[in-house]
Amino acid sequence: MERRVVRPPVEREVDDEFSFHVEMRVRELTARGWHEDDARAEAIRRFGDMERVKADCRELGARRDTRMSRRLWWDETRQDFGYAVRQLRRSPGFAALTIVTLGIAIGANTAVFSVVNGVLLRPLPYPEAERLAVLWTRYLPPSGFDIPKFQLSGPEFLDYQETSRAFESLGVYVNGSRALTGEGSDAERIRVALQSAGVLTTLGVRPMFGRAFTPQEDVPGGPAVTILGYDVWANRFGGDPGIIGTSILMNGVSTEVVGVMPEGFSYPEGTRAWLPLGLDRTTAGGRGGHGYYAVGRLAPGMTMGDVRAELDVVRQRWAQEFEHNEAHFLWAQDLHSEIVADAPARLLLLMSAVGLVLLVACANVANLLLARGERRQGEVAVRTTLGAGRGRITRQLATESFVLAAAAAAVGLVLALAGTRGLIALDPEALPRLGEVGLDANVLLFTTGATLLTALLFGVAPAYLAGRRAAASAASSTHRTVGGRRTGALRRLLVTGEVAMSLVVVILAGLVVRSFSALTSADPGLDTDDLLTFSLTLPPAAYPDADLVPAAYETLLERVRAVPGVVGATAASALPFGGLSQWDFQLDDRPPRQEGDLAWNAGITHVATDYFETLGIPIVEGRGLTTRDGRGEALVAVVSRSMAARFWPDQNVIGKRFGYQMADDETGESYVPWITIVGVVPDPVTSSVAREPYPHVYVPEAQGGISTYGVPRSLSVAVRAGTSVASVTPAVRRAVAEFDRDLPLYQVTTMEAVVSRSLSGPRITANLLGAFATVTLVLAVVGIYGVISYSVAGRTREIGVRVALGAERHAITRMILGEGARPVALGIAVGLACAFAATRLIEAVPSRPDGSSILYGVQPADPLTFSLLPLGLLALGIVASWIPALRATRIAPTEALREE
Amino acid sequence: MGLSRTGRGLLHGTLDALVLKTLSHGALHGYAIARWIEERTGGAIQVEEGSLYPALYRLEKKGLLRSEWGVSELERRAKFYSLTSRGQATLEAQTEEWLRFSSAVTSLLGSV
Repeated sequence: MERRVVRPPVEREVDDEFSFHVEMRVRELTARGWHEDDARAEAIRRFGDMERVKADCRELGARRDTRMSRRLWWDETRQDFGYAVRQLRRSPGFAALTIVTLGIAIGANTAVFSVVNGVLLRPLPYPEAERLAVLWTRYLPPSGFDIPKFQLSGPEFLDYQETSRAFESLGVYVNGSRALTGEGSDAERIRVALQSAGVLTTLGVRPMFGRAFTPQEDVPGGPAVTILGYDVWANRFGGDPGIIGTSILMNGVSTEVVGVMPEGFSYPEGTRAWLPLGLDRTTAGGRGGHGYYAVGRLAPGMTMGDVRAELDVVRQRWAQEFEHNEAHFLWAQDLHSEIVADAPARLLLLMSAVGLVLLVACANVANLLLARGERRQGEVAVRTTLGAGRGRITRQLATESFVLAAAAAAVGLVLALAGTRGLIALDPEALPRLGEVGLDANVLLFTTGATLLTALLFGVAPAYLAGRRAAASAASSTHRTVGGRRTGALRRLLVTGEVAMSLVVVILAGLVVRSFSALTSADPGLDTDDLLTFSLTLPPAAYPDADLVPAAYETLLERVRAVPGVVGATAASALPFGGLSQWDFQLDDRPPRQEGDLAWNAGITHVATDYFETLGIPIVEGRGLTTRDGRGEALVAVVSRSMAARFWPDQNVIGKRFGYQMADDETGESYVPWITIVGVVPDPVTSSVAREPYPHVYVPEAQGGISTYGVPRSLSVAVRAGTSVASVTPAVRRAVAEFDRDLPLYQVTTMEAVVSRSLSGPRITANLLGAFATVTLVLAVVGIYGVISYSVAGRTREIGVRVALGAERHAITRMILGEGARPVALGIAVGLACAFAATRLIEAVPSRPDGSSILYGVQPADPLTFSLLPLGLLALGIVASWIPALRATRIAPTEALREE
Repeated sequence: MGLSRTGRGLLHGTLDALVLKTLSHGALHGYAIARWIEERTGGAIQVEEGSLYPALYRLEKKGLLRSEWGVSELERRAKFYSLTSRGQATLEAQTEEWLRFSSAVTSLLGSV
């Protein structure tokens, strides 16, 4: 082809092309003898409507140009990409360090986000789950003694259900357990919920096979029917759809299976089968019998605000209608908040900390890139000379950053996947809904976003500076300006930022770790070593006479105590950390309770013999409970310290009396069988050591019914082993089987495991924050070291001259150390301020009605944390700059001067 | 009589195929393309410029042609078109298709 000519813009291109064509045609026609004017007219005529054709061509040409520039962009990008990969391969150490640093940071962010996503962001697995809410009762007397959250009483639920307009449907349930026997399988005890027909309607979930309970089944004394959970159906009954309509044995009672729930459905969490509740006015019990959980679905268009307004009205009405009811009222909370409980606060904290880790990693990599950019000035200069513009250089370096970030994202995804799986496997109960955590589109979107942001953060400044330098070096002949002033300032700024952010993470971690260690070292109130615990239920089918249940337990305990290696055994309606039953009581030594008085309410545990002795709970006053405190003897109780302090402050409580409402079997008249206090023990821990102690009473199970609630049939057994729990467990199981082979042991565990599980939320938070803090510390130290040693390397000549001029070694060291210490000290000052603000935020996270908070036993502005950690970081900073400083003093002047 | 001298008389897509064929021997400017077609078909096909240029721009947009400005044999600035590799492939495919089609038509008409 002929010489090239630059393409004109598309408007002129068409004009030029067409006029050339016309000229050529005129030339042809005149050569054939046409008159020039005719020839021109003919040539133009052949175009038809020339203006329209031009317009068409211009439009096509413009579209062609956009396509071409797009293609050019892609080609350049592909080129840049290939170039970037080659460049990175040429410096594998740099590439690996960067990819690992960013990979860990992106991985940690992805992992934490996938938990946030699964726990907080994904909707609950029910249709229109945002319309679901749960109801609780609160007791808030003017005396200020608040019981913020407990179950409803039957009448409370029924009253509210009758009048509620805010809820389209309401369901009510209680938790229980049933033994599955027969069918050739081992006896097994499963968690069940006894629920009204309204629960499934409210949740909007239908059985996978069969049907839900009918209103006719949900009545007192209704037929024995059950709906099985998916896993029970699949594992115990072989996944046979023909099970519908057949009968199975539950607690020895033949029960017809009417439905099977779909896989994954377990409401309330952990429930494996459902039975009709049959709650109505005849079975609801008194207004003080709080044992019912309630869930509701908002009517269309209704909000939680409407519910609150409605509940306010109910509260006022009840206060007028019922005596002593003024301080009892219902409140509602949306189901999602209820389930995730305090997880949002923890996850917010973790997400913020891990975000800072990513920023620190970005700062570090930006530092590396700046240093690399300076080393590559030669290469950049060559490319500039070859015609690459400043934009092109910047873009090429930015591509390199994106390649690094993308590789890091791949590493991060693998780490995140492994990390979350490991975390969940380690402790599936550390957070609610952990089972729903996994990689999904949200998580991938987040990772992509985080990666792009990362590349922008660490890549843009170095790329911009390199582009600038390229432009400058094209203009001037001397391009050797290692550690230019602008770059140096930027790097010191990065160190300052890095140190500040690390300090925030480290202080947050310090506070959380300190509160976790306060939790673990808090007194659990009993000797937790070598204690085997499990639960048993003596079902009415096999043990019809409730009065004989305590004696049956004593016989069983005697068998267990006879097992070699067992030093003691006891049983109770709940062991420490095993939850709380609260009953209202009466007091003998004062007039009937007045409105506004303290709640006459305490936790209650029915205990078998040797309870305090076996668990290692000291008697602080009076005596414990003995075998002489049996049926027909004077009713006695041991109370906790706060029970004594709250109701008999500054008095001797031994001999004081309290009691529970009882109804006479024949006349139905109510009376109070008084119970005499014989001893005082420390306050028990009922769920977590972080909870405020609550008044508690212990009554001997053997004395039988002391209230309308009767005697508990389900007890938890605690067995103290002489050497180890593992060595006695099989023999204890055999002893129980010899007593009754249809009696399944459930919740078999050790007290240590129970205590440990009560701390799983704080533990996961502390462990993760600790890990994040370690990572940021390492990154910060590496960052400081990198900046200082790079600056020393750049000043070899200057230092050499100083040494040659007789500068003392320690003066050089001081100069370098000072240079490192300044940005570190500034960073620490900024970090302290930020950390202080951050702890304010933690405090500001609204504490939930159940009283759980992230910090325990440590002040948000804990002086120890706020002084030791910054000092430690400063020390690390000095060490990190001391090594390059030492190296600087060894620079021989001759060598330094020869370097250029 | 021969085919009409207007592009409209050509079967749809035929002009594109002719352009591609014309350029298979080397780069040409628009006028040369028109002339080449006229000469090769003995004037039986006259390409109207109002159809030819939009066809050239369209083919270039599709990436079957590329264009470059150069200097013509008469020392004038001209825009030269040449085939891209995709254009070459398209030409081969269209030629094959056309031959199959025309032989089918020929055998059909010939058999009457």
